Amino acid sequence: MGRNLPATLLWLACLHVVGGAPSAWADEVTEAISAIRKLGGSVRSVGKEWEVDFHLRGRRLTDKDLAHVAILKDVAWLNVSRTRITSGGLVHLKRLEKLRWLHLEMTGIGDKGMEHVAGLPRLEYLNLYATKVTDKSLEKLASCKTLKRLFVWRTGVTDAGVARLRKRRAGIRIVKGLDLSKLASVFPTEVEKPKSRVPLKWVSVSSRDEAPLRSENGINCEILFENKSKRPVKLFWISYGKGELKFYARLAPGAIRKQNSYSKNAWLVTDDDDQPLGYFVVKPDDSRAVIPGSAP
Amino acid sequence: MSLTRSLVEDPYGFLRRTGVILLTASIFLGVVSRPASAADADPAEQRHWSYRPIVRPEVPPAAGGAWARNAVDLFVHRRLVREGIVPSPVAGRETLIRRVTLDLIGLPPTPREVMAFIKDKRPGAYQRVVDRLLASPHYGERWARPWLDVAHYADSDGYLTDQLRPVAWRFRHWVVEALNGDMPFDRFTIEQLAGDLLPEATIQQKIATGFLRQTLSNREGGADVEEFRVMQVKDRVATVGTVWLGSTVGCSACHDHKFDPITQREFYELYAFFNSADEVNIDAPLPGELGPYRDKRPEYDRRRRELIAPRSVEIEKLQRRWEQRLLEANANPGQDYRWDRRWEILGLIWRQGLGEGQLEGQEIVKLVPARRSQWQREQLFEYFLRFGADIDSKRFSELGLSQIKSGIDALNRELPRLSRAATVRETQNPRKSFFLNRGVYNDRGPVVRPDTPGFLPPIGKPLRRNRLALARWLVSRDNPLTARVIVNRAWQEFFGRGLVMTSEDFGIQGERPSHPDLLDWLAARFMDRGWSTKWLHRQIVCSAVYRQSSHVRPELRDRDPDNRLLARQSSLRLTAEAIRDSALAASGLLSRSLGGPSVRPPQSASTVMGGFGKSGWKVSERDGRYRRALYIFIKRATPFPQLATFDAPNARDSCTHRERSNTPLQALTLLNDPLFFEASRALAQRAVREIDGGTDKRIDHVFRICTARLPGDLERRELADSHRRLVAVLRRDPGAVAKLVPEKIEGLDPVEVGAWTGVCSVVLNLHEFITRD
Amino acid sequence: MTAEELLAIQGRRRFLRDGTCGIGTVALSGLLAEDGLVAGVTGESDTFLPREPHHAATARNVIFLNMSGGPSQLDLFDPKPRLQQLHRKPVPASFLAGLNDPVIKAGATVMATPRTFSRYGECGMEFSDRLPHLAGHADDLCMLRGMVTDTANHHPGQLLLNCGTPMFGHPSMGAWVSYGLGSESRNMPAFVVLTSYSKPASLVGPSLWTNGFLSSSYRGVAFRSKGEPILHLENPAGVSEMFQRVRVDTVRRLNALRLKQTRDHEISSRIASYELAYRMQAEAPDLLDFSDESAATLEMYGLNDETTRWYGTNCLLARRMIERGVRFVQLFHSDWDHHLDLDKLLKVDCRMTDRPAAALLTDLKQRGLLDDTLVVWGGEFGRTPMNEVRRGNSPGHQGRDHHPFGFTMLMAGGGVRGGQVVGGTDELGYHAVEDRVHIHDLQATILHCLGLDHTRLTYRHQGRDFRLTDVGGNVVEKVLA
Repeated sequence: MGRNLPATLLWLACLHVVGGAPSAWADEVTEAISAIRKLGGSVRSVGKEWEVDFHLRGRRLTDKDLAHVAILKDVAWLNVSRTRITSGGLVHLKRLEKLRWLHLEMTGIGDKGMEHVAGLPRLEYLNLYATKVTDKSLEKLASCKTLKRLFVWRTGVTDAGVARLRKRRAGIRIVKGLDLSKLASVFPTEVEKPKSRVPLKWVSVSSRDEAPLRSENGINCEILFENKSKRPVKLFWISYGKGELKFYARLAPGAIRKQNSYSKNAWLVTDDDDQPLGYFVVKPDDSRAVIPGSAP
Repeated sequence: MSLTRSLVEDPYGFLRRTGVILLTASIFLGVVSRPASAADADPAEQRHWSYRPIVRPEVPPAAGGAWARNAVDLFVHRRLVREGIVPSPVAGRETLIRRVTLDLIGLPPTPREVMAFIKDKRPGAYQRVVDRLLASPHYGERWARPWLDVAHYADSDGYLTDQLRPVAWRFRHWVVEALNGDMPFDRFTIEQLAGDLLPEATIQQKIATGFLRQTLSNREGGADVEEFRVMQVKDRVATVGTVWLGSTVGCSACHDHKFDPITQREFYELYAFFNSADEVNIDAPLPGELGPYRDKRPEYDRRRRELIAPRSVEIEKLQRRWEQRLLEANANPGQDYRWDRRWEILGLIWRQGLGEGQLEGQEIVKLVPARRSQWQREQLFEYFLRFGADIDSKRFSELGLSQIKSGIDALNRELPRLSRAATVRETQNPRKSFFLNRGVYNDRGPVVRPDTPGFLPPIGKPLRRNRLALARWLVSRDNPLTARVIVNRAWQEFFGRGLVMTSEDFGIQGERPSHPDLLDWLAARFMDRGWSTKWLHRQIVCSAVYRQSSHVRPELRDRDPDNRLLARQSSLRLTAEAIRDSALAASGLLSRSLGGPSVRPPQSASTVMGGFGKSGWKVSERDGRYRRALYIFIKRATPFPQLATFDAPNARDSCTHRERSNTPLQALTLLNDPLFFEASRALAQRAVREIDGGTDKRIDHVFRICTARLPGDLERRELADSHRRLVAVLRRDPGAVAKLVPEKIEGLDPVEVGAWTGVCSVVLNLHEFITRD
Repeated sequence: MTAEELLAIQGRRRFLRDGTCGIGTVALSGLLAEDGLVAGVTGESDTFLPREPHHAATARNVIFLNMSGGPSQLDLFDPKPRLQQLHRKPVPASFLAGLNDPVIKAGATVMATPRTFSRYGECGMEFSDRLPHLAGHADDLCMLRGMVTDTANHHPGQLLLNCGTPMFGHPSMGAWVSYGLGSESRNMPAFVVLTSYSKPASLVGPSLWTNGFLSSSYRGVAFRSKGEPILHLENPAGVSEMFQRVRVDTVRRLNALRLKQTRDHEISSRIASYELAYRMQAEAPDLLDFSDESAATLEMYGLNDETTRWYGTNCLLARRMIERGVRFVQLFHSDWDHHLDLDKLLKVDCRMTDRPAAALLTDLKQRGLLDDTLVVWGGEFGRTPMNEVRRGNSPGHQGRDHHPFGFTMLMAGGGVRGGQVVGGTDELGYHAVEDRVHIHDLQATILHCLGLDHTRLTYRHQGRDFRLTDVGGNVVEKVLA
């Protein structure tokens, strides 16, 4: 009966704002809910089951307090992460036969009492992140037939332990976290795949007049300019239409620059005094434009 | 179409609420064409309500006994009678004086003012309070704020560089004075939009055009200066549209308006009025500045001439070469990026750091030298001395220009300064206005000429189609929008909501007025009474509607949750500024001096570091720390957190309606912000010093100061209880007392002051304190 | 002071602080009733009661990575080889037939993407090289390529995405969720907003996290974007815990008396915000103190890199808030409005956000929290397949305009089946043609994952039942695990 009361009513009941005389069993449940809420926990009813949270405001929760949760029995979801419980509290979980989702992360639990967890007949999700569990717990959990997801990052669990469990129970997704020492390879600061680039032809000139009059339209592509000469050079795009020179960059000796461009565009290279040295005409592909070392 | 029609005929907006969801959805899907074009029968009747001419409605006959006090009430009452609702009783005198004082001057009434009002049993007591408040110089300070919100006033440029605008405050001061002098709103409009174009324009009239200088400026390199100039002009058009026309014309910069009958072409016709206005700063001496300046000026001129005289011809030649090179770069962009950049910089950083007009330098260079004013010549020459060496560095040093520069710098340091002000003026280098395709600044379509939108009455045949003509048109008797929009925003300040809830949008998408006749009556009378803002405010605050109690009536909760029928007043959380000002006023810390440059009260170190750098926020001296919030320096990129927490708008766009949020961050501010705690301490000292004797008497005094009323028995008991507990807490903790009351005060027990600091802070944290009921 | 008094004060202090007496915001009505203060005042106090969801939830929390301004799907998520072929050519007329939107005009030319697309993960989901880190989570992500919205203007579009209607004044998604599930038992607000930007003329404002016509307790609490996220967490000098508790208690009791007098429900919200503020004083320093995070974690979020630090901090805060019971965290990043210089500016915003967002997924995953938490990535609309030329034709300066007819969003986490692409656009990327998902469908799906039926989550206002999804919305079953 009590279980089917709307949560609001139960809630009011536990504040003693409304009275009433439900059955003794309902009394017991009502009292348990009241106790959980006094501990800062929250209880929601979902269909015929309960969801219980302590991680929000109930982090002073200790082992014996879990007895209140055990009274509710039909708990499907329990979050006691970041609370003060230890292995000793796990014994209270064994009555929760409908429990599917269990957050134990960041608590003081270890391997002791894990058999109570492993014995839960419907457990699908188990979070043991940042606890003291080791491979011993994993051995016990192997008997949990329903388990699908297991989180053991920052615990005493070893790769070998995970491998053994995987062998016995292939259906479990086990997350042991990333090896953070290898982070650099997982998160490279700049992922750039080497591209195959066609070379552009360097045409050496000594005046603007020798270079193309203007750029033509083409398709988008990328040029990699490389200054292999021994002095700085300047890079000008020859515009469409009037063929004006638009300054883009100054490349130090040895510098490279990636430049977005279009095929049939023309790029003029000069020295620091704007004296033309040569030009490139872009091909319809990603390309490489090398300013040669022998440039005058 | 029937849906559209019902929308037009639905005076109260319920249908709109329910139907509009479908309607807007279908508009988005292109199913329904623009509803406003549904004109098929009588065009005047079919027109959207706010575009119809304002015809003064008949005042409903007096009925329902003595409740009504003026015409406003008769309109509201007629509606209430129809709904079968009786108005709320008049609010108690304490509530009333607090309400009207906060609404008219933005400060709480003093206990003496409260007592005087309570004791004044003669007829007209309330009117006398209203008269006193309307005559108070703080009235202008209170009412400047919403106007500065719509103008989006600030003391910095915005964007990344966010340079300061040290003379921006001159416009703020102009607004305060205009409001205090009850400048007729039509003149108020004309001076702000076109003061410079008035015949024999005074400096004050030019300062008024500072309204148009509240656009953001980008002084960062790499941007096309023309792009940002166009953006500023667009912002001016959008702001004028919002502020006077209650229309979202800004949408039309890129395409025809989706809902309202304004086309993209019409947007650029409005744009053309403003496209010829250039940003310039002018000398606007403050009292006492002109005399010393005039005394020194002849001597300055002589010595300056002497400095240049020996080589003036050659110098001028070189400067012309430099100017020519800049002009070439402007005419042929892309030819030489270095000179492109120099041209750009001339526009961006002209008299950098002084809040001067952007692009002013470029405009001077474009001007033939003969047409340049003396000021322009001097400033350009000084700029040339700083940045012109690139034209020919050899020649530059031969002519000794660096020495001349330091000579002039020294002279400038000696010359007494004249304060300046940010204004606009008609450009000296006329430019055409274009239809900009999709709003893109350099994608020019056909040339457009200044004109007003076709859905409003025509501008007629003014001598010149310039800003002045536009401003006059905005406040002409035929313009159906301006008076309605202005009256509605005033109403919004007094009731929390306008008669049109969407005070920023009187267009097709906006809400319809709850009391259309009342809105039109107020608008018509407002104009008839010479656009007197004080008349309008008096009319509203003297009505019985305004004076009602704000207590929520449970029986109306479902029928009228938003209090649209006005069967009561509304409790409104105070604005950010009023909360700060009230705490300062209650504590006695408030500095009531008027006007002047912006002040910098202390703020958290992290805010200062983030927005200003280590030494960028020089905290004002004593008086400046306790000025009214109106005067706090507004840096666009780094708003003052205390005000931002209480919903002060950012100064990016025009804000016609502030939010009134309620967050835990506000609680943290009132509890822990050093300013509010300091106010508690000052109030405590005041209470302990001013009231000899019992706890209860002191509590009553503090409560009266903060809420205008006396506490009830339960309230008094709670406060006395907290006092007792705080004394107990502090007796055991002398260390805390020393921190709590850092300065010993002769004859006062620090524990008492500390405990009263706590009690006073409780009262300053009450919902009632930050609310006007 | 007698021992009894001291105990009373301490009791009170713990009362809300530590929950030993078990009452927080949730118990406000009870608390007030207990004090004999609000007998007879009902209604608003129900605000804080926990509510039953409509069905079992697959997610308890939402982190919405709101990418304001309209990220370009064609340069990030939706490769279209046809664009390369039609580059600089006019849009084929067939795509524009029947369109009557003033924002989208014919005559523009097609723009190929300058980016390279590759397949990632076991599922082979395609991403461009601009989001290499997020792409690493391909197998966790559900990519919705058939998103559509109603409007091509920023603010209406953002309002639609956040509040379910392009109009002002309606509650935002976070407010609806807090309303739907109650904001019980928390030391932190149920709905928190964090912002970051690459351009200071930010497109983001409080209308996007408003409570609308719901109680103002449901409004999103915006932390400061620079400097300390929350100011004034510390008591003023000399104010001890006991002193503070007396202050806060007295404020509450007096406000409650006032509530009884005036029946102004805003006062109950004010009372709640004071209680929450008081608890935040205890909880927030722990939230904001990253010293318990490992160096590797900080590095993963990019906190040691100037480019990623801002967004990385926000992402890390989001995870820490989820752990502490914040139900809805919204991270606004603005802006992605790349009308010009798209390739360059896209790179800026991608570099600011890609790595932190991916780190957030990784971190949630390894802590087992991704199974409880729904993560959404996306903006108010996408961008056109056509080129928008705003600054001459010089190379690399092109951008794209706003595009509502087909764009991409990402979902991951609680209840979402990762490693799949749902929906698609035509060969030009112009129209969503397959499994179109309207913004209202997305909202219905998010609510569904939280255990809420979007048609039943309603609020009566001015005589009408309003809901987040207006009159639309279908749960996108394909997305669900």
